Amino acid sequence: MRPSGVYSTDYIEDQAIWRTRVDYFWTVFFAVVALSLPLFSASGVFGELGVRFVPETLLGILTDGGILLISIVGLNLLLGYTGQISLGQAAFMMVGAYSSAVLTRQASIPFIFALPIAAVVTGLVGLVFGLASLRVKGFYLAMATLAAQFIIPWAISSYRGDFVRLGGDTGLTVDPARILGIELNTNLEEYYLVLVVAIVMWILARNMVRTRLGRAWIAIRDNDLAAEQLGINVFRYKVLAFFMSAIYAGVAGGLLAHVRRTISPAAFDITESIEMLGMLVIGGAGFPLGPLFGVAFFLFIERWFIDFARDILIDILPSILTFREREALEASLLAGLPPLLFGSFLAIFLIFQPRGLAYRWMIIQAAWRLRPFSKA
Amino acid sequence: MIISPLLHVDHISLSFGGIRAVQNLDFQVRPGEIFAIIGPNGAGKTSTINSISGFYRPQQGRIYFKGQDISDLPTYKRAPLGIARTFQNIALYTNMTALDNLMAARYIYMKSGLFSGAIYWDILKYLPQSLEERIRKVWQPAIWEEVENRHVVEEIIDFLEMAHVRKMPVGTLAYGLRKRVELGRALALEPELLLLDEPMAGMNVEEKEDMARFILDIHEQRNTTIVLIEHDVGLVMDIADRIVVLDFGQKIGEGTPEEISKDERVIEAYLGEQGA
Ligand SMILES: Nc1ncnc2c1ncn2[C@@H]1O[C@H](COP(=O)(O)OP(=O)(O)OP(=O)(O)O)[C@@H](O)[C@H]1O
Ligand SMILES: [Mg+2]
Repeated sequence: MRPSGVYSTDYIEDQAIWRTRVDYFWTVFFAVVALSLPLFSASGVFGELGVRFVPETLLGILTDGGILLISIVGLNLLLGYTGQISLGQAAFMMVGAYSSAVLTRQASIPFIFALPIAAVVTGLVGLVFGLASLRVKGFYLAMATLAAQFIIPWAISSYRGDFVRLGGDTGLTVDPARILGIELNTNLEEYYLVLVVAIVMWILARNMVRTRLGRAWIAIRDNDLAAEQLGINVFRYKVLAFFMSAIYAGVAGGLLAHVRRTISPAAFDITESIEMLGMLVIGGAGFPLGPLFGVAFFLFIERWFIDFARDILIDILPSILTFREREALEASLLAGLPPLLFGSFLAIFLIFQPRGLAYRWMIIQAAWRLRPFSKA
Repeated sequence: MIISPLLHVDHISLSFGGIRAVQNLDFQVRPGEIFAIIGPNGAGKTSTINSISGFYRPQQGRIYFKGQDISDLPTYKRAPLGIARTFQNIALYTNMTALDNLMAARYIYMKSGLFSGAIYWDILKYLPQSLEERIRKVWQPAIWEEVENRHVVEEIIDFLEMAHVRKMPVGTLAYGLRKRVELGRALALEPELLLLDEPMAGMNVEEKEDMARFILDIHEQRNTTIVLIEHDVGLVMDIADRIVVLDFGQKIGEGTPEEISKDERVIEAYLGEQGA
């Protein structure tokens, strides 16, 4: 018998999420910033006292970012850890959004129950499409999940039954989230709702991947034949990854519905699915911080860099253009620039930093720990 | 006295299209012995091991492990019975650390799943030790399980003298060390039958000696039965209790090292050309 508890604390320490002081520093830093930001907006405590340097629009952007983050954390479990691709994440978000909308408004189920139910429903839909992973891998699996991305929006927009109302192409109006009788309908309240859910979902995912379940997933990703030889039922764990990943999409979709308050099939098309995949790749698939880096980078491009790039381009437009030509060019820049820029960045990352920002960050941190012997 | 065999490969045949990789092969491995499979390239050695571990399905014949017919058992159900293996061309989880590769192999000994795995709060360590332990055992079996299995894994890491690389992603390790990690991963399954496919291939003399020592120690200390594929005949003669010789998928000889080294057919087909 070994004396109990003697080294156990060491091993627990060793497997902890936050191991170094630097980890703690960043965590506390981000927690403080994230929690206190809204207090400095117009509707926050300090904002009302006149200290308001956080615009309401920023809260809205961060809320959207948080929702994206949840969905991408789910995608990371599937792609990053299990190595299975899915092109249907937006469609799964759609299932979550519609489920939660219908459950709250048409079945009068309180939001705090409706959201988890919607998540499980989404999980089961994801599981069904994940069954394809039994037979096919890689490119063919991508095609199979692409089916979800076509079938689900089509089914929802063409549903005309009486059982529930789904609103066809027009979509649905959704009630704000309501928790314990409090309606969460300001930017600030929505921000906190999404923040709390995102943090909980991130920690749960982190725990899954550092225990038995996650090692089984990674084993499948790195070498599925050897995983089988360790006693891992590969098919079962692949399907479980699809289920979990869709659960995350369901939660994200549900939150999105109650924050946007209107949903329609057009909001969940293939572009969204591909963008989420792109964000994960840029951020770093298979790293806990990958989704966070990916979303941050995306928001940076979409909300700031694009305006900047457009202004520059407009400035250098030849001055011989007539006013009308100029206007037409500006309009097409506005429409064409975001996908063009995002696509270019994705390509650049795939070539120069295929493992993503999170990997780079890890290397920088490791180098920092080894200083002064490192050159990085 | 008749000892019932741990493993009985009962007249198996395996072919790939026109290639007959294994033909009507029959042998028995007794509990506790080191059993070597030798033969020239393409003789069907790997195919035999793959059939035992479930990687390949022989078209004919049966395989019995501890008296149980495992021929139709899915691959993933064989590890829990006590069968582990290494691969001829290393099949590690390259992005995981050496430690995690071994921890992954503790899968069959662990229970935590989706829910118990997801709920794993580091915060608990700030509670008083006694309280913390009680809460963990009841509410957090996952942590408990991690720690218990970590002890087993750390022992194996010490045993294989690879403590210095335990936190390194195995993809970054040198070839010899990767072979060792793979052996460690098989050991972490605490198997009764260990199948080693050329564990010393491509190693230098020193690494080979280390590996041979590990194999003998595993055999001695853990009383593990070992089936070993190895091209270095001299080494096999030294460490094996019994040997089966394959050529073109067929058994051309079986017996103790002395018997094999005197066997006319074996010398003619295999040992002769190797200049033994
Ligand atoms: N998956 C496969 N598909 C087709 N043929 C195969 C397959 N696996 C093995 N073979 C063939 O079966 C025969 C036996 O191969 P096997 O790998 O068992 O030989 P081996 O004795 O392990 O040889 P080596 O010493 O080179 O490792 C060879 O002719 C090989 O080409
Ligand atoms: Mg071989």
